[in-house]
Amino acid sequence: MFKLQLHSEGSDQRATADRIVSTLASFAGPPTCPAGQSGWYRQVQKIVTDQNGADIVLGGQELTEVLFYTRNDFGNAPPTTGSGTTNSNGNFTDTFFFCTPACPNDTVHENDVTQDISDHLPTNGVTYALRPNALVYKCSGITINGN
Amino acid sequence: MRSIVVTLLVSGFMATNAMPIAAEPPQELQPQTATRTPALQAILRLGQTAQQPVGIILGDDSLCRYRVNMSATKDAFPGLVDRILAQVSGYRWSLRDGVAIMQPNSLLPDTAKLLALTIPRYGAPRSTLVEHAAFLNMDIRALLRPNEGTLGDILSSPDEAKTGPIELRDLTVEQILNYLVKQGKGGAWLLFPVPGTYHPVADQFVQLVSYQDTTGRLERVSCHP
Repeated sequence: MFKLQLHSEGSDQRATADRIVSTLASFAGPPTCPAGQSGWYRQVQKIVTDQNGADIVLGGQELTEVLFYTRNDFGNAPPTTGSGTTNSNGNFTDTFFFCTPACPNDTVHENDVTQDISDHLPTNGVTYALRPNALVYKCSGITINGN
Repeated sequence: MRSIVVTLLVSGFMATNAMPIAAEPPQELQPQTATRTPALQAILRLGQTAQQPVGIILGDDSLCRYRVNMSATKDAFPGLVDRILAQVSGYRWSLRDGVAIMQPNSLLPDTAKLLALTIPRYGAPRSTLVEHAAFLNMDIRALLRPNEGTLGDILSSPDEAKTGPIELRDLTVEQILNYLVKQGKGGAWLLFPVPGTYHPVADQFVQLVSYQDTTGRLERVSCHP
């Protein structure tokens, strides 16, 4: 993947999407799930990409998100979210988790969620809405845009 | 407990109060001084400076409405917190389990119940305190609404301080919170007012913040989840 550093103040680099750099952890819960529930935990390292698909290798990008259900078979509570900041390599961590009394036995149902991330670039002070991610939470795992 | 060099000397006042602002602190004291700081933020900064784990039980938004001026002196954490809370009506503090816990003089019954809830098993991989708060909120919700699951996603910086992996059994919510904020270089927990009738909107019962935070989380802590 081509990497582009943000150097000049006049850069027109626009935050457009995010991509997975690596999967840090992925396992069935418990251990994170409450007693009597099971589910899945997945943690990935990500980086924001620009309008040309190049990585934005820049620290201090302030990331916020909104999650909303498009399908909530499990009848879970409204999603929990948290904000983050990129490190000097431009990376940020995205930790997904879910637990439900229906798991681990359920093989039919799923929760589908749209993740809208906003990225505030410190270089130009502009906040960009990144391309939405499609998340699918099942007893068998969590996928991000099908992966 | 070691002495620290920040204190609050000037009477606190309501944000909307028209009382005159006290004289600016000496320039050489920056950045450890600040004027008209919300009492909540002042307590968190003192805890961070003294590396004293703090727990804050919010009964209302007084700790955010009352503002205090910070100036310089040499004093210990207990005396400084006494001075802050003397300016905020209705709050007291005590040291419990190694954590300085601020709480309303009259603790709401549901708040006391929540803190005393026993979590059968709290488990988490190595996580930021923000993630731990999400997991603990999930455990609390599972006790209050056992038929309902939880789904979440937490963004963070790879450089944030992490604690764990952790597995604790048969501890109360307060004991787990105290355990978490005593790890590493410490941190603070906040418990938001618990409504009389449980409602999904109030799902974020607790918040945790690390004293090692460099992403502005500490400064953004407020009286509302």
